[in-house]
Amino acid sequence: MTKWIRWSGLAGFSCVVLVFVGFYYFAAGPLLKLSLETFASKALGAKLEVASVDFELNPLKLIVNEVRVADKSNPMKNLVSFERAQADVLFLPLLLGKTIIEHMVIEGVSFETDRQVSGALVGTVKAENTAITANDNQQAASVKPPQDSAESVGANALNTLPSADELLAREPLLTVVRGEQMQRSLGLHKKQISQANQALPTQTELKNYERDLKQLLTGEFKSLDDFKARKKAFEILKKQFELDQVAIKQAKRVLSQAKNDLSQQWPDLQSAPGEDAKNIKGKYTLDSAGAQNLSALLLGDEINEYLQKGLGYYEKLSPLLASDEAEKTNEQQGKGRFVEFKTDRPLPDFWIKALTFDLKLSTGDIQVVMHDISQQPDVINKPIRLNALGTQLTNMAEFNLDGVLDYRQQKVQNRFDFIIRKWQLEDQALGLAGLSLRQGLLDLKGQAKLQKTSLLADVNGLFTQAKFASSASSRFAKEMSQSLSGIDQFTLSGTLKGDLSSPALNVKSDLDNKLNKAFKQRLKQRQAVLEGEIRQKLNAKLLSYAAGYKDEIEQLNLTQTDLNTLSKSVSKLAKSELSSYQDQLKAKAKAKAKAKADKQKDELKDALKDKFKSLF
Amino acid sequence: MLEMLANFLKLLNSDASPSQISLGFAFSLFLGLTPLVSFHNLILIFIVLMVRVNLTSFFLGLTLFSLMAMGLNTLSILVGEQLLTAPSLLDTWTTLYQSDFWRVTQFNQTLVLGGFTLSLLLFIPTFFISLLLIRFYRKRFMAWIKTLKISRMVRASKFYQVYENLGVLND
Repeated sequence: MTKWIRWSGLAGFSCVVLVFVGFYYFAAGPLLKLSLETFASKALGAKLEVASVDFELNPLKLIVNEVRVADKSNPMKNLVSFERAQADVLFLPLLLGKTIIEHMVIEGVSFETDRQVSGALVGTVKAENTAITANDNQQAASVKPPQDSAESVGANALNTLPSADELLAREPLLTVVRGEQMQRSLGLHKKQISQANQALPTQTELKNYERDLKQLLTGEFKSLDDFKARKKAFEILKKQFELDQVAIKQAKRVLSQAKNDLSQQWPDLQSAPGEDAKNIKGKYTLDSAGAQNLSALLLGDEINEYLQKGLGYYEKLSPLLASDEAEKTNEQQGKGRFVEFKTDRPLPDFWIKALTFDLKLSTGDIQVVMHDISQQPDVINKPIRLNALGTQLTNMAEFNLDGVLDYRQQKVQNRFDFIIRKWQLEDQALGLAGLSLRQGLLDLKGQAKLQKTSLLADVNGLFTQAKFASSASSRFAKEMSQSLSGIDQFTLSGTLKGDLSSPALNVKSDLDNKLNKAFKQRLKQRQAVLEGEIRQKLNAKLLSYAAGYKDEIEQLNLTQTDLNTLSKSVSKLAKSELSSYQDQLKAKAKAKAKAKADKQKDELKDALKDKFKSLF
Repeated sequence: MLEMLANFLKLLNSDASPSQISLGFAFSLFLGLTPLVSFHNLILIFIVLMVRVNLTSFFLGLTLFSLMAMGLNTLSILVGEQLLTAPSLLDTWTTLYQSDFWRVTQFNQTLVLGGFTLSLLLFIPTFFISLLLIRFYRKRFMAWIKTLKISRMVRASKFYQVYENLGVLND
């Protein structure tokens, strides 16, 4: 039997296997560390540093020590860091290129910790500059401004409303739209009128017509040829008159159209400032109803900031968790395909069955447990489950967050439920008149649903043992402080609804009613000022357009008068007639005959007189 | 090409056992007809190295069957597809699929299963046919071939000398 065994071959095979194992055991760690630091840093745009990567063979474990991920926008801070991550990897699936992690533990997770060295990548000068700026900003931010007076804080709160100039710049104004339309029409009509004017006879031409006509119509025809020449010239003149009359009619029509058009647009332009003021007023709820939302506006800033941060992370992670459709077609030409069978042991490309880590916050640790993290949820047919629990926090009795992120079959259905019990709030600025919640306990319960890109969330909270304080001494602040002194508990409820990129936040509280009374008076004053400013500015805009309109209408009226005069002159000239040569000869003969008859008559008269004298 | 020819002649004319040569040739079927990076091929390489099969015939066969696989892959895939989708075998495959070990063997890959099945079917015939051919050659043609001019040229080439020197490795 032993003669069939090739001992040298066995030794060679063993050597090769040992070399492979040795390579993975000793060299794979540093190589993986290098790969992580190089490729992840490039992908993140900031340094990712790993102290070491170790392997343990039985059972197969991957251990990553001291990971620091720098913040790209602030390189002197770490976006996230952790002390140690240990992953229990399944060996056999790894041979198939599938990374299945039975259990992963991350210890010492912290966010936004300081760095000794800049985390900007070498060569990215811009990032370095940003780091310096961010550092400066940080230092600047660390110097707290002096406590604001009640007046200034109150004024600041109200100044969060946009100014008249901002509103006018932000909104598409009808005044501007119609004014510009009017300007365009004016320009167009001017051009048309100018073209029509060019075809009209000038004053000099009119005088020439009169002179020529006079020459033609006065004096006797010297001969038949003279008559014919005059007649021909007269006909030419008449034709010119006709042409001029047509040009005048055309000019009159253009003028009339211009006047009609501008007259129609003018009332719309006149009413535009009023409509604009109404629109702005409606949109920004500067009326008294808007005051009810003002407390939400003031309280909502901080909530909105957290929300935007959370949604930002969600949007970044979401594409990584969605199933990859392309993976369904695994057949390659000439390479065969994998035939899948029913199994309770699915093997996706990447799967963390359980992940636990502690979030280190300044108020204590929060234990986070996540299950079934995979970018192929359809393969494992399980959603990602999340639980974050904090029971020994210094500022609250309990924090509990449960989440289910389901990306199966491309249907994003995520749900989060959270409970916060006895959250001790201290010195929370209300952002108005130096008011602050000096102390209070808050119980919060909420839930959020995310379906693809739409978000629906609601939160209900109860503040108890509330005590308010005011650092300001103005009458406004005093009144406000006085009205809040009797309140020791109030509710807070909020909803978040709409598209993920811009959800509408609505926060309600019965504290509103208290605040509302004080606000209303100030808000009315502010509103009156603002409305006045808006109207004044809109009217100024209107006047700038109106001046052009009025000038132009005046000009058009003058032009119309000129045209009428011109039209009369030309019509008068056109009515002139030239008598014929025969008529002139007949008239001449008639006059001659008449003179002869008169002469005979006179002679007969004289003869009769002489006869009668002889009789008497 | 000259290398292969020298190798082949050297192998046929050597004192190596015909059964070892045939076995090496038959084992190369598996590596040639299935994807090289497979779990069963790792085991096979271990067997080939450990058992006294002729390595030269193994590598020669690997070259030959890898070339043949270019044309045979379609047939292998078809065989694998038929087997993996056969209703009568569904329970067997499903049972195997539950085990990580069997998943590592990639038995559910059509080319792997088809190629492996073809190799299994051809293993015994390849072994016996090559055994018969080698014996027949040595008995009838070896002496005559050695007298041919081309054979002398090959024997005189430096490649042949190299193989002569390395021949010890096969034992």
